[in-house]
Amino acid sequence: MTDLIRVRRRDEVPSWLGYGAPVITIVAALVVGAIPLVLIEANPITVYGEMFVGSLMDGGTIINLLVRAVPLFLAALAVYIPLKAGLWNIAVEGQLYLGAIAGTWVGVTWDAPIYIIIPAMAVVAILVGAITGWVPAYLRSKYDINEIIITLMITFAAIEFNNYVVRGPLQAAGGVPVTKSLPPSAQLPTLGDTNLHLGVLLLVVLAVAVYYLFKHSSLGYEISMVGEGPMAVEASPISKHRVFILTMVLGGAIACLAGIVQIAGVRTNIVPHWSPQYGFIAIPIALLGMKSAFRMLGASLFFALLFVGGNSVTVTSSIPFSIVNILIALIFLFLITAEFFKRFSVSLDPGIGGRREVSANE
Amino acid sequence: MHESAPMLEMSNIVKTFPGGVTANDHVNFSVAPGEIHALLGENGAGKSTLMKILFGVYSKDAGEIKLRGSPVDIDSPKAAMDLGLGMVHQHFRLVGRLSVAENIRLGGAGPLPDGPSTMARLRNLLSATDAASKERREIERLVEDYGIDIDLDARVWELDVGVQQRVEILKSLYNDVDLLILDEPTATLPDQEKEQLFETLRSLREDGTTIILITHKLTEVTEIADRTTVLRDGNVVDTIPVAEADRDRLAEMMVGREVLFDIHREDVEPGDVRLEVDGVTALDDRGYQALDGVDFSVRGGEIVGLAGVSGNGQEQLAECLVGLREPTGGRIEVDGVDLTDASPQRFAKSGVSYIPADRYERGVAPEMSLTHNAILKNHREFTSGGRLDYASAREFTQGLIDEYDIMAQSPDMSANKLSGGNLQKLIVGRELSRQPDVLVAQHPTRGVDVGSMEYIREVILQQTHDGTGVFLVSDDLDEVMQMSDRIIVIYEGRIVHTTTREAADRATIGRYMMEGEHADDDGAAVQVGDAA
Repeated sequence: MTDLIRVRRRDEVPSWLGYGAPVITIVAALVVGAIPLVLIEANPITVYGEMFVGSLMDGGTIINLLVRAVPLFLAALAVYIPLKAGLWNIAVEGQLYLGAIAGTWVGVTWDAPIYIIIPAMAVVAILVGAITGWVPAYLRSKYDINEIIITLMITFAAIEFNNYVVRGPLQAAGGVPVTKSLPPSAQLPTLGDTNLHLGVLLLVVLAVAVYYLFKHSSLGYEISMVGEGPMAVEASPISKHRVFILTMVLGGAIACLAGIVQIAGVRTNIVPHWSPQYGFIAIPIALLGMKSAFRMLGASLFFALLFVGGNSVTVTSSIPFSIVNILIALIFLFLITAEFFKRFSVSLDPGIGGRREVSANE
Repeated sequence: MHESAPMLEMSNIVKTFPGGVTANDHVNFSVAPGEIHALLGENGAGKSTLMKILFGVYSKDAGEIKLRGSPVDIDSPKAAMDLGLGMVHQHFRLVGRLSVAENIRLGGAGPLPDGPSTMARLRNLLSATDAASKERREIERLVEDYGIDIDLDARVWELDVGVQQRVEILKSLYNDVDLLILDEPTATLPDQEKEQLFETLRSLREDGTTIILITHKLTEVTEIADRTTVLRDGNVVDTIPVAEADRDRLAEMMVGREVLFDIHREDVEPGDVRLEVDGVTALDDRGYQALDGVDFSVRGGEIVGLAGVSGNGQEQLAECLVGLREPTGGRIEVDGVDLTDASPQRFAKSGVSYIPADRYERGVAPEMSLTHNAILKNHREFTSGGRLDYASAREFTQGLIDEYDIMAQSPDMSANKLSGGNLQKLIVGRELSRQPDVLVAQHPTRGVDVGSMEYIREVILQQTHDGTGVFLVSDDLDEVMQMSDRIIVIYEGRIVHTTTREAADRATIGRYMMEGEHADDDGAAVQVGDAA
């Protein structure tokens, strides 16, 4: 039995791999993503060039990029904050829908000046997010019920609820499954004629806030300790219960806020399945940016570029948009692969196996 | 007395860990066939690293390994097992839900030809075929041959640590091991199970198995080993026959200086009652009664030691006293305040410090920095307006490193890079620097090297001068007897005997530990317990 490939456990992750993994992941995904492009007789270099460089050449697309990054980054934060405490929030996709519904409901039913209605929509969405975060956190903390299952079920329920709402209480006249549109006074102001809406500020504000949270605040310390030393924390003044509740409530609030920002800033109404799975794409973004909020902002911008560049390629050529989904899936796979390579080193070494056989036959 | 060709020869082994710590610095180590060879050294001396290299867990940077005279390349534990090596790790690798026999069959290559794949073994395991019953007979034969006391059909999770260890040894034997490595096998064993382990090892030796025993306990070396190799700071000090060594000489080789074995307890005037425990009952994790009406109290400046054979309720009692386990009855008061059903947070805030039994799981967040871990109990002191002042937290940590003699490169290194003894010093420093009213110390020196052990005992003794009441739980009876002002003995969840340091007598305490209240039948001692 000759071992051609030798796999051995690493004593420690080499620092170049630890820091380089996100970049290697993305490059590997692009390389493998070239295969389907070649199969449909497209030139990968031209396509990637158009996608990542060409689309950035005009100002309009940079604005699109920032606008697209808002739901991605906020959703990623909603995964990231609970994950630092060791909790998986898989409810983000559902919370986007619930936040959108709650905020839109306020926007279309209440007539008030813009400076009152916009904050009111945000507050209601945040409240809904807080509740949907609190429930799984409480169940996990008090009864040790797995939060992944509860949050995943929240997502399914929320998507179905959205399907009901667009055909029910908030449906616009005409029989199409779509809600009434937000009146202009309930839409986020934009910069001039562009679609750069006020919500883009959240990118900066939340990146700085979350960076501060984990690098300098006492709460961030508590969250990290709960995540890394759950048993040790039990016998300390840090309350695990409080950290579980706070992180999930914070995550839920940010996810629901992202939902209404997307409606009030971009869409103006709700249709079934309006989110292109921002809440799930948020998971690889959070993992890519695990080291800090600014890295995660970078990862969000990259995924936004995939969407925007993908759209632009789709419009100017016959490349299907599926290529973007393929790239996202590949990034996910290579992220998991990177975890393997962080733990094991692999080398090709045909000589060794034979030698071992000799000694084994002594 | 030994054959000329060594069983194992490791020469010029070098291992440097990332971060620059050289754990093995050109180590030469040789073991004769059929001997019990003790690998002796302090924590961090490089013993475990050397054996993990041998067993294929770590890769070596340089050096050569020869087994039965021919060079071998061992790049995985599987390769090591194929060569007839076996290792019993400190933390067992058993499947709790499977029976003893199933664990043994799963772990070993067994008598099946051509080294079956894991899947084949698993399939075989789950089927009641002829092969399976043949394996079963094989295991029964092993158990009988070596006189190992074990129920093959018991589920592993139900077994005591000592019995689980026997399962690990059986796994190796089943795998046809010629060279068995045991990594600090007695660290978690009570005295009488240690005896049984040594019996097993002796009968293995008679059968021709070579044994390497990693340890830092001198008594074990003199009791069972034929030869010993002493490691210090990654270098071999010497290899000597045990018959030519005495404990003092070995200790000096280990630490490079004379070690104080006797503890000198200065008298401290006891103050007010700090901890009052009254009729406490509690269940264990499986819902069985673990504590049955425990009463005692600890005064300021006093050390009360709990002696007992492990598994008699010590763990549960310590957990009740820091709020990690909710008593089902009775009362716990700290400084006169009832904390019976309080959370661990309230216990901590009420001035109770805790040195847990499992320092990696309960003691620290292993991946976080020393600074993060050092302020675990008092991070609010470094907080103002929600902002945590990491600069002064780091200074505080550096202070602990200096004050408690912790070998650490910087407060920013992660806790899992510290050796066991140094990590324990960090925990002890963290818990004592709060000036606690009560210290609950569970096995504070278990598994640490002699130097750290002496140091930790000393700082705990010193702490009583500041009025801290100490409740000491330890499997090491010498430690309990030498450090405590009062000694209480626990048996099946009840306090069966109370005595003072002056009146303490090893034999009497030992009898109460083994027999509980029945120990009075010959009228040797005064019973306290429930009547107190």
